[in-house]
Amino acid sequence: MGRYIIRRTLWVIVLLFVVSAVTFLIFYTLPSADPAVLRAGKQPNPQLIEQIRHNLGLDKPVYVQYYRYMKGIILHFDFGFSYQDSQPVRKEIFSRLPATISLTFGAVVVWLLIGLPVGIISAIRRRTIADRVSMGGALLAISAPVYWLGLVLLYLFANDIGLVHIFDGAGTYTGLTADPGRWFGSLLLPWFALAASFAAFYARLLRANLIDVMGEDYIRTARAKGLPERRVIGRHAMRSAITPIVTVLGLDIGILLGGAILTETVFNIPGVGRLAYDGIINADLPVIQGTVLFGALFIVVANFIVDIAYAFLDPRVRYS
Amino acid sequence: MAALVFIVVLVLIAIGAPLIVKLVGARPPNQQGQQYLDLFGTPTGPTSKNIFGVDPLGRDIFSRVLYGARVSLEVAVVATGVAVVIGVAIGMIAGYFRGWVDTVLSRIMDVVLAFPILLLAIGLASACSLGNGCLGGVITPGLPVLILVIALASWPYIGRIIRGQVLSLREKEFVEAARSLGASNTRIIAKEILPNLVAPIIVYTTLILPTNVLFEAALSFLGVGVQPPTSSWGQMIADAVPIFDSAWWYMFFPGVALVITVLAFNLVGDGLQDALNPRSDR
Amino acid sequence: MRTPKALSAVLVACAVALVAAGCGGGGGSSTSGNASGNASSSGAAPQFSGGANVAANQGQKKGGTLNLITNEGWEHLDPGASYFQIDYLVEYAVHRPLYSYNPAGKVMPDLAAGPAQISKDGKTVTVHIKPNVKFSPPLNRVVTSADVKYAFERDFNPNVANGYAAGYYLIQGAANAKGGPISGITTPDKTTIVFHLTKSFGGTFVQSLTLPGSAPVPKELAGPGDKKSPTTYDTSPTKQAFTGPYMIKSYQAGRSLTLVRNPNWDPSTDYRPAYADKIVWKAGADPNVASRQTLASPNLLMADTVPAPVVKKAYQSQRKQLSVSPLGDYYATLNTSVPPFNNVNLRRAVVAAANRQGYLLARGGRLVGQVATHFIGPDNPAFKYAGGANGFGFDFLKNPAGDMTVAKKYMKAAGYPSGKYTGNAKVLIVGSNADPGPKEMQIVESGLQALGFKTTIKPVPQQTMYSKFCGYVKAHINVCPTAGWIPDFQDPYSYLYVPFSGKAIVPVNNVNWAVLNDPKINAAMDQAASITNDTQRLKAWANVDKMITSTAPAIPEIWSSNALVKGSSVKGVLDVWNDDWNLSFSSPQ
Repeated sequence: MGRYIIRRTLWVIVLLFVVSAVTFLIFYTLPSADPAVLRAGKQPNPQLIEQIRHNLGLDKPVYVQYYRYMKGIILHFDFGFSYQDSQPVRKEIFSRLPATISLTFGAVVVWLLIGLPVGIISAIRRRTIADRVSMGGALLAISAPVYWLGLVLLYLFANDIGLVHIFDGAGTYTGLTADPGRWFGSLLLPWFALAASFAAFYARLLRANLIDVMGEDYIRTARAKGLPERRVIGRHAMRSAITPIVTVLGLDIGILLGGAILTETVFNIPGVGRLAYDGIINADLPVIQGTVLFGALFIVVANFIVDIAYAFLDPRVRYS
Repeated sequence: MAALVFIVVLVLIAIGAPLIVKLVGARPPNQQGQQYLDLFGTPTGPTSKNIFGVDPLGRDIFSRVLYGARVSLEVAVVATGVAVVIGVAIGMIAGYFRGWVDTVLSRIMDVVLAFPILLLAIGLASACSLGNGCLGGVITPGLPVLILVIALASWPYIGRIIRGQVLSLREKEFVEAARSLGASNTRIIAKEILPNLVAPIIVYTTLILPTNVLFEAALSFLGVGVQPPTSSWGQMIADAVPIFDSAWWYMFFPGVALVITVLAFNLVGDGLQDALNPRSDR
Repeated sequence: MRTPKALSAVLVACAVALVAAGCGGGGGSSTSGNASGNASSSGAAPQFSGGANVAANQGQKKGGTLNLITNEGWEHLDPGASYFQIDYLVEYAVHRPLYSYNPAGKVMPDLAAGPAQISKDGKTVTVHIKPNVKFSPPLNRVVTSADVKYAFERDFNPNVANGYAAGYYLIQGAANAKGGPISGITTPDKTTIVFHLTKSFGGTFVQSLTLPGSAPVPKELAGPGDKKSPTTYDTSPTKQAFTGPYMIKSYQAGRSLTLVRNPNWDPSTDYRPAYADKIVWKAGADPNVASRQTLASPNLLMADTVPAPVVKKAYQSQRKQLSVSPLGDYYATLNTSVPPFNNVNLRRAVVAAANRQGYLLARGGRLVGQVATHFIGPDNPAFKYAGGANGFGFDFLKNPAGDMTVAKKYMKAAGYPSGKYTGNAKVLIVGSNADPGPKEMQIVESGLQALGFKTTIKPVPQQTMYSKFCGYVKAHINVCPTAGWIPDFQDPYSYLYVPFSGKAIVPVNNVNWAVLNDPKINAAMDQAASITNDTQRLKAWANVDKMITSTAPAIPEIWSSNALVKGSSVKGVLDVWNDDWNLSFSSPQ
């Protein structure tokens, strides 16, 4: 087990290096805006541009630039400066993390609270009206893109422009520490918009798993022994049906923490995804590079945690 | 079944968009008309002339939604096709040969899956939309970029699944039998393993297809899709964002078209899964 | 050029404009003229301008906290690097350049003790500074001419990356100084600074001393940081030495900014009243939300552009909280250096076919400006000499919605007797992918297609448009339809020279997107810039405007207006030259 963890950890590190190298290569070699030119102002003479390029270290070969960049990260946890407003990228990402974390975990709570009960009820009451309606609804929710759902929700319910003024609208995000009440209010719509397709997916997944599991022999045995149905499902069936859900959940959280670009864009939430998107819009390489690396970090770490947890939960996983 | 009919209808609409627009008497999708805007440039809503309303350039949203189906389907189908071909090929090779081949290929899939894919896709797509494209001009701006990016992001999902299937298939008796008869690896893969993968390939293709319709729309929404004036649903929704409270129709109709399309593909996918997968009795 | 996000998709330099057109009681040529004769098409209604009382004097009171809100964050709060509309609000409240504009747009000696002295040949400019202006704590020392000299040296330092110095500060030895001493600046004593120029543009140079790049910077404080890229004077604005009435107390990039009073500021040396005790500014708000919130509030000032739908709502129901005033122009350049648009008649045909009304509607209709008929806008004193809103009467600019008959006439003159383009050149249109960029590209495309051109549209990020396409001469982009220009100071030089003089063409970051290099126009510009008599100079520039308009290097789209909103009881004072709030004149109540 110990060796397994060490090997997985090493792989995480290798993976992050590969991701950083690929991103670096893509964004530094493909045509985009030239940062030296961006900083040069109008009517620059060529020497000035060369000087700026030199000062930014952009006249060095790509591998030297990459080496310097990685050295900065490893030794000082320094992600460089934004070309746009000269602020340290690390600081910008950290200042955006609370919004992204709030959005992600709030949405997780919402989709679990909706998705799991719906999945269980549908599985138990299979082929009833309730099952058909909720599975139909789930399929619809999976088919609706979050940005469109967000716009429709805002159009219907936002308290500034909505047909019915109920929830705080776009761009009202307030920090948790600044005002917990407004934090909660401002995130309600984004949580529901983001959670919709996840809730649907989890409900479908859980239902399918439960149905599979309930066909297993040991469940039949438990039933035959006369155990109450509630106990059969709660105790035995759920336990094995929920394991894949935990796996998916871990991965989904990892992806969302890297920035829910679409949701953050529609609701104008100042999160990491929004920062990344603005970075691309502004051809701000250090910001793009930094946010992609952060996103990858979350995904890889989530994968890692899920694998380790899985190894603990399920003894059948071979540590190879 | 209804879903399948809808998809057939959708394909017909996409192909016959010019004809339908003519028959209905709607304006062509790129014809601007400022007479349909007010003094402040706000577009007008659904009327008998423009049944879905007009956009901020006074163009007919109905025709643009119809034409948008073309982009959506073309990109999703081609990208999915490319992804499936790559995914199946690599998945089979990894699963069949195992050992270091498997390790390398699986690790590559890990790397692709470790990227925040939407972010990478926007970055790649916007970079490749400049100049003469990227990768030495292989990938030109417009549809090819979209297709490449979407295929790139989705092949590892198929690859992983196929690899898993092949890992168990290769231990089956009929493969062993073929091998003991001296069949070459290529022959075994083509004649013994691939036919057994048809069902999962179909199921996962239909599962990925709607995801890729959404993926294309998301990229277009974020501004890296097809070049204007070609219309696409995602780009229309993005275009509607600044005025969605005063011109709901511009955001609404493209979105509905998108949702219905994805829903239809999902229904068909579900149906196929049930039909081809004997274990599930839903 | 600084990034013009606030006015999305525009190549904005920064602001200016002297005449308080229709706003806040400033005099001069107001802009209520009908854009043109054709009133049949929608959008031809007269431009709206005015709304709220934004005059310099509206009974403001001292004290209290002034609250601002914006969508945009600040880019550079370093006086040497700052080149952005909303950054200027801060810069002019915390730093004192040699000169600055008062809210009505009049040049005031700021750090300077009086008007500058220009030598007869126009090549030497001498400025005396006030002897008793002190830097803020902890520096606490008197500002000397050496601090101004160092400020100019920084402007040419690549680590500071000033956006305009090379274009306006034509000082001897500056171009290659790279942050080191500049031979053309001397300081005979502690209160005197002398500039030796490379051209006889002294009169114009003095106008450019209103830019924040002339605000003093102490070398002992900024020097070490200026050796780094980017300079730490820019990345840590709270550690600067301030001379204005306020100091930057706290700064969170893109999020929040707090200004407090500068204890070393002596009101007797300044024309600014500095009413508020404290200024709190929140950035990063959604523009729709922020503007609605501002309209509903008693005390908020929103300092960046209000989305068109909200402007419309404010116009309909809360006109007293809405300020609309002219600022700059937008045009679609036609590249005069490469086929097909190296043919003047072909360009005229394109201008004639263009639906300029459509541009106006795409930007929000009559509240965002009026259809332009030439380049110098109503915000400039030369406007009235350039025919005002009616322009010079060229037939290809007569109908704002486009005129295919006139277009055909010029197509024939260009050698296409059928009236349709039959050549094989493919027209490449490149513009910003941010709204309304794509709309403008499609409008220009539809006009070109009507004339038979084959076209390709390429929407790209704005920065990319500047650095890889429209501003990169070798890219030979045929049409750049999302160009806009906000002059940096009130002289027409700043309106026309950089965008249209052949002498201003540079290989990268070029702003003359039409690559117009007409020796006659170049000479006329140089001659105009050398005139010292104000009226004569304005008239000469108006004539330059006519020459440019006649050669059709661009489709003049609109003269734009900037719309701002304020809370119901806050007293917002508009800087007409920047078309944004003046923090030292506005007051919470």
